[in-house]
Amino acid sequence: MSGVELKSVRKNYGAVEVIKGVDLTVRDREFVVFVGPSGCGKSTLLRMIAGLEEITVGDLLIDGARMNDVSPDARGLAMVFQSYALYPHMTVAGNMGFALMLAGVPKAERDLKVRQAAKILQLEALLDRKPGQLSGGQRQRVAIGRAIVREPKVFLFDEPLSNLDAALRVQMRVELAKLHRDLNATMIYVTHDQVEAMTMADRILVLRAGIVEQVGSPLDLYNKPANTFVAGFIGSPKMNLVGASVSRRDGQTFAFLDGGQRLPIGDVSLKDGAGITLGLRPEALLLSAGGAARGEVSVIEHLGGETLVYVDIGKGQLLTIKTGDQQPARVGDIVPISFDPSRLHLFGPDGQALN
Amino acid sequence: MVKNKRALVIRTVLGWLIAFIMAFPVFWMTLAAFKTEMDAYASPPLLVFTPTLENFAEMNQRVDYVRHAWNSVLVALGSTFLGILIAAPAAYVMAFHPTKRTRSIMLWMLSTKFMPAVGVLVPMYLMLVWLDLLDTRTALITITLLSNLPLVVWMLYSYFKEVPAEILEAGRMDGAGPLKQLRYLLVPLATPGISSTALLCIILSWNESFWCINVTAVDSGTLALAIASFSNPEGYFWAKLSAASLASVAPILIFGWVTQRQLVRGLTFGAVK
Ligand SMILES: Nc1ncnc2c1ncn2[C@@H]1O[C@H](COP(=O)(O)OP(=O)(O)O)[C@@H](O)[C@H]1O
Ligand SMILES: [Mg+2]
Repeated sequence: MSGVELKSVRKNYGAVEVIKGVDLTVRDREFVVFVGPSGCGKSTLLRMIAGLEEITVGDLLIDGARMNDVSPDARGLAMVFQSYALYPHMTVAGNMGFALMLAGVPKAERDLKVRQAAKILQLEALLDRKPGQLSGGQRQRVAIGRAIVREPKVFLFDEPLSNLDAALRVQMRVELAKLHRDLNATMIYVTHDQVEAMTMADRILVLRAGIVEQVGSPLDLYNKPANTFVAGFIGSPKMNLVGASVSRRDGQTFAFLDGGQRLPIGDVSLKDGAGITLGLRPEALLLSAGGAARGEVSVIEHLGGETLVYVDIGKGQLLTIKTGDQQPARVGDIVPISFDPSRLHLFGPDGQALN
Repeated sequence: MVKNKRALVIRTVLGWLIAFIMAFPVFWMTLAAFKTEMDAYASPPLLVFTPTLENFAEMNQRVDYVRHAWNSVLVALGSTFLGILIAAPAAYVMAFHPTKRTRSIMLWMLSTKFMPAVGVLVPMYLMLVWLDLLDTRTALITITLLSNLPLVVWMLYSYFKEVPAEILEAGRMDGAGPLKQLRYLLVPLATPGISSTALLCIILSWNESFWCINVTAVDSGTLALAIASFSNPEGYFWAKLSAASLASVAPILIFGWVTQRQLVRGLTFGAVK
């Protein structure tokens, strides 16, 4: 059992509160990703778990034991830093074996463990090199290897892939997911990239300005975003968020879009005239007749496998529509837009989901 | 092009001129050291003369060169070694675990150098009398060490700052406490900076003369004291003074020459990294 529990955890830097009460239970062998825009406090939260930052208020439990005042190395964690933070004056083997050396593990045993980890990460040929003689991807592996050697209860990653180029990032993403399976380890992973979060996580915690916006599985967040922030943050291309107001006529409820059009919506417990936000994912929108709305095609982006059509639905409000069709329309066309009502998200005046 | 060339010539000439002005006293001293006392006083000054070693012989008769040189070595190395031993942990804490007051403490340390040493001569002297430490190497090493300490802390602080904090944090995660971080990470990574700090400290200690002249005598005096004894109320002895000075600065000059690459490398460590 290697669970991590955060109970009403807060962090102040002087008078500034950067983590404003986080509750979370990370289960044994779970891969949890903290995601959020830059500066929202992801690293701070991770570093509090690691023991590199003090917890101002609240409790941290690892395997049920309170860890607030336990030193970083005694918490049974290993951390992979964004900058890798390898020891530049030591060889790859030296880097990976450093913790064991400090712990007084005999050299033979140390070498064995280093070699085992190197094998997992295909670093065997590089053991005698210094970090300066390695490529970015290799350094990344060494940093992970240094964590593996310690056989930690929980792995912590702080944006480990953000210094790699796009191709390598995708490759390492797959490898990390595999590593998680092979090692059967609990992992907490920080990133600002929602694609990384969606692809790797068992559960995602979305953080904004020190507040947890939502916790759930990738598909939970995609299908049932709790608020407009999560709705806009998860999914690519971004969900269309359209401002509207509630209006009822003949026993039916409509949304009057800010652009002037009118869409029927299911009943909501809001007064007439209340401001709401409609959320529609680009992949939920269709360019087909019988639609509830129409607009003028203003830009078309061809990605090959898919095409993004930007449609102006009035007052400059653009809807992004994703389609598999390579020539769905031409710029300047007036097109009908339709969608499956079950894929419509409604958010109240406070930005929270209504349905 | 032409303009550039002229600028280059002017710069070169100017450079040499300044170098000449700065080196001239040393050059003149070197010449005087090998003149007779008569030649040294000749007016106009002599550039061509019959060199002699008699000044050195006489200097050796009057002062115990080897003893003073040994004191100089002990004081320079001792105060430097102890200074770095004390300054390194201080600089580590200031660089990586600063508090609200760290900046003011650093400024305060520097401010101790604003006061002329003579301002505390009497209290220091009395303290040494009470402690029975007058004319001891212990006293001189301690004083030199303390007067260099602010500079050493400042220099080590700026070199330590160059080491990314995440490397030490990785060390913390790996189980290295402050002392092990210093020993296994910080010291190896800041070696160029630490060596140039040590070199500078050795040079400063070697040339320290105020305290040496005031609190030591024959037992623990360094070469600075030996030189001073040649300008005394009996009159100035130009040639002998020069010989003594040359004999005193020669070791440190050679030392500086040999280590200059290391010195420059350390002092520009951050800039060229
Ligand atoms: N040592 C510090 N002192 C003061 N403020 C800090 C410190 N470290 C981080 N912060 C602030 O805390 C907030 C969260 O930072 P961080 O956790 O690094 O964000 P993220 O990793 O999500 O980009 C930021 O606004 C940052 O400016
Ligand atoms: Mg961060």
